[in-house]
Amino acid sequence: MDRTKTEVLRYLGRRRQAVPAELDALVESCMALMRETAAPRHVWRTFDVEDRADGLAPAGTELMLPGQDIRRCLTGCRRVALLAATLGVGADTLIRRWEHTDLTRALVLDACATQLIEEVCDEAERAVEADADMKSAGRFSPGYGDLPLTLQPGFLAVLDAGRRIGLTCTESLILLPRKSVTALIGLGGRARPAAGRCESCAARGVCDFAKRGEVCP
Amino acid sequence: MTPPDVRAWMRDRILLFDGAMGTMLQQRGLTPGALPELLNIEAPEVVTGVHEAYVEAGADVITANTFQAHELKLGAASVEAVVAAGVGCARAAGARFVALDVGPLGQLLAPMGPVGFERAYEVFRRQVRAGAAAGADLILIETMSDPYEAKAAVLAARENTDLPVFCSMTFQEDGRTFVGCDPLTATVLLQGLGVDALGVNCSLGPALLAPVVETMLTYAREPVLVQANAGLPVIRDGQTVYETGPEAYADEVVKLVRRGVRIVGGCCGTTPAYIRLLRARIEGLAPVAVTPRRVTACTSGTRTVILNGATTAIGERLNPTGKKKMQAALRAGDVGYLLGEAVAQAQAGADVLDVNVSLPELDEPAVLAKVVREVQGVTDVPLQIDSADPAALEAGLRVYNGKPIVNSVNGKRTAMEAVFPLVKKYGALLVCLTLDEEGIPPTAAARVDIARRLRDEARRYGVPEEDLLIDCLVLTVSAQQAQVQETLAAVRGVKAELGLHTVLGVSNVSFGLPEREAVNAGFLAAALGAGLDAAILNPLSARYREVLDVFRVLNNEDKGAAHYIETRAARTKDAPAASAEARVLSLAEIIAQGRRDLAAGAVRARLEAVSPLDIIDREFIPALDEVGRRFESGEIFLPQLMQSAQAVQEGFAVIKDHMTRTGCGRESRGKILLATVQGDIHDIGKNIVRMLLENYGYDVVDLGKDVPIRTVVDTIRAQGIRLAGLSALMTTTVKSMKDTIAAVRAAGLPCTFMVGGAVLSPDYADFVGADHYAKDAMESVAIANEYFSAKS
Repeated sequence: MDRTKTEVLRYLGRRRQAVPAELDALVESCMALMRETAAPRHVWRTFDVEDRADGLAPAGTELMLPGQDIRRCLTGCRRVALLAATLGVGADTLIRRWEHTDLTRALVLDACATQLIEEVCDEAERAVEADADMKSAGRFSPGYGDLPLTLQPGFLAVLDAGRRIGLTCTESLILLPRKSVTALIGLGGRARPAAGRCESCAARGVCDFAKRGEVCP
Repeated sequence: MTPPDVRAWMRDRILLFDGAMGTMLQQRGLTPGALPELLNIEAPEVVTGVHEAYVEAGADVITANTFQAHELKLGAASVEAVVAAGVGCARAAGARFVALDVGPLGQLLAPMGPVGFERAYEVFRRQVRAGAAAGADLILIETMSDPYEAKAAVLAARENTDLPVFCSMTFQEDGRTFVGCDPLTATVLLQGLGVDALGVNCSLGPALLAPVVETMLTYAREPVLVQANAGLPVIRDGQTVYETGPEAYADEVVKLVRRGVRIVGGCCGTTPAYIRLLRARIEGLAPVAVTPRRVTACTSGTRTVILNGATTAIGERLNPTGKKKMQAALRAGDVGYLLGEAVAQAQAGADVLDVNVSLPELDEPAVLAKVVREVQGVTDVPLQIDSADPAALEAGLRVYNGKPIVNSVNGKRTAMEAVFPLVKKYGALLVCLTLDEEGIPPTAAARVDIARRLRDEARRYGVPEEDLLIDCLVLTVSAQQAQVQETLAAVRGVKAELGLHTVLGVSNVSFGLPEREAVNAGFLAAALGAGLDAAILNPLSARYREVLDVFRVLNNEDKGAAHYIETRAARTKDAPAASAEARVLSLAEIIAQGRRDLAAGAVRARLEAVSPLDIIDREFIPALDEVGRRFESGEIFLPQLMQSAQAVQEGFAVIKDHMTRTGCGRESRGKILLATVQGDIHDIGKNIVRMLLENYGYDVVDLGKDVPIRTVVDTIRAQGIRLAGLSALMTTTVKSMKDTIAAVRAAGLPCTFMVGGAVLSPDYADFVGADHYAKDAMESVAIANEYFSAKS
């Protein structure tokens, strides 16, 4: 089975169960439909890392990156990229429409979207590395560990993400469109660990895969 | 001296706006991410300096630094003060005209986001009032992605100021806005709202915007505006840069002016150098006259239906008349049932959906507005807002996202006086019934006369004739047999003598006859032959679809019969296999395998031998228990559990129908309230829980998502609810869950709470004060079973 589909099934809660043919066909068709519907967009900027008295910060901005986890993640990094990515409202609308007629399809589409936004972030991360000519130390998002979600509005403002990619944040700090990611990417420090090297990963202790007793792909 | 009106000034001139503000402020040291609007007060000299550079470069209009000077962005700072200072800076720079700049709210509107339409309107109202009070000469609503948000802003501007309103939207490389609006839809919709100019800005450079602009020029009756970026933004060395220089920019913009664009300027990345060059290039260029194509078009927020040369099917099913289930759903406030009907009609090929909620005991304006809002959230098919009550029509028109059809006006003086102004104000196609104070005329000629009067009256209100759909009225053939030919003759007459579009509700004709579908289908064919443009009918009927599909081939609309061939091929493929399988699978197997397609048929067959209650208790529930057990043990995973639940849901629908018909009911196993808490807008998990609970025979009162605490408290009290399930997705909304439970407890209501959701854990459940934590949907069923069995 191809890796993308394995990922989608994993988001649907599959451990080792066999996948019946109808479900397999449903996943295939949802993957195609989500790819057709989503309008992935991303925007990023890179900054020098500034060590201020009360925490790290992207130089020249008023954004503070408090906490120990981001400090560990950016250890040795000279630069940090702010990345925001989204699949656009089309993905949300597609899922919402199916919720009224076929909830299973809606759930599968949701998982396809989750997989797709990760893929978009992976690609963006490679573009960041290429532009900076430095290795990424991995992505770390507001809400992971002790890096607060309250960062979101300022994070989006620095990137002008509303205007550039249509990404917004509610008062409850939920990113909208739903299938969106903001992440910090350390550059020029320790390279991102290989898959499954949990002990040296920036997301150690806060990773969803690890919580489920799994390793990341 | 009063300055000239900008509309008069530009009558024989190309109007030149300024360029970017943000780009210039960042060059002068504005921190990335800081609010530029605050500089109006903190450093007005910097803002005025930017404006002066644009005035000196030759801009006619200076855009005040008020893009997001609204209460959602400014917070505590006074909107009025920031706007007044912003307009003041532009004025101080010596601007010929000052535009109040109105950008998007930075929050998505419902149903995509948390901001309701009326809330958006209020925020814009405060901003535009402040702008008018500060002396702005016009209002520029710009960088809009969502036409619904643009509508809120345009309405706010038109209802609260007398200033000219320009509105421009922002399109991406795929030719659509972030929310999927295309340039045709934007043009039709904004024109309907009566803007003074419309156009595009931001996102792309002028060359890439050319196809979008071309579409607008083809359909726009108002001047078209283009304020492009200095090229497509690209990232170099970690920074965004714009790579189209002033020369190339001006070259491309001048090409657009030669195509008919009347208003130009610049957006991100442009500077006074761009504007200066543009000034030089447009000097001496006279506006190019364009002849817009006049079409009969309605839209949703993302899709336009043009009736010219395209036979149109309007779905009639969202109407309680004669439909017991729909009446019950409306009375119970159960919008879910209506949404299912809406989606089904759209999937069956309806081009437009009629929405009617008239039941004597309902607050029709409020209910119509609510249903319009909900239905437009689940389909991109344009709506036809249907009511005899002008107040209900206005409520529906106001919250509608797009240019709808209004159903209807007629030749009575009172009806015309009430409806035409609404249609003029909001922009809509209008169904015109050919009846007046004297009733329905018996002859075709007299109906054509009423149509003519309606057209002439529409003109007086400024409603263009292409926006009228004449309904020559279908009478019942069993009662007034001779009248059917009069109706058809009237359709021909309206087409030939007036050249207007026609619409008919076909279903009336067959009343009182057996096999009504056959009669309706025959009449539909005759009416289409007479030149009917739009038919109001039940799109779920295969028979009508067949008539329409065939007519569209014969009428040269379905090119190469592509649609006809495709739909026939799909139909012959799967039908026989399913029925063969149904015979060999037991109901338990159908549920275990999650075969939705077979469930209804199997239940119908079982009902011949077994009572409905026995099917539920002895077949559904044991099968579901078994599926649940396999889910718990990890033999199957969530989508499989859900497919089984959906199969039961299909079977349940058959049983409910049977019970309604036979009048044998069943005691509910218990009533459970479900809600996704305030601030949280993702509720797929809650919907899964709802389906499972309903499968087990519970009545679920589903309050939806982002539910205010007050609504939860009030519903629990009003409906005497004893078990409630709350879901939250984010750590930030767990607090809202805690507050909701606390409020119910404080109100002294004896309600047990179960909670679940992505971030929930047993610890969190304790923290919020819940009685039970449900780790997944099956567990919520176990909790409910235990709760209600302990009680009984």
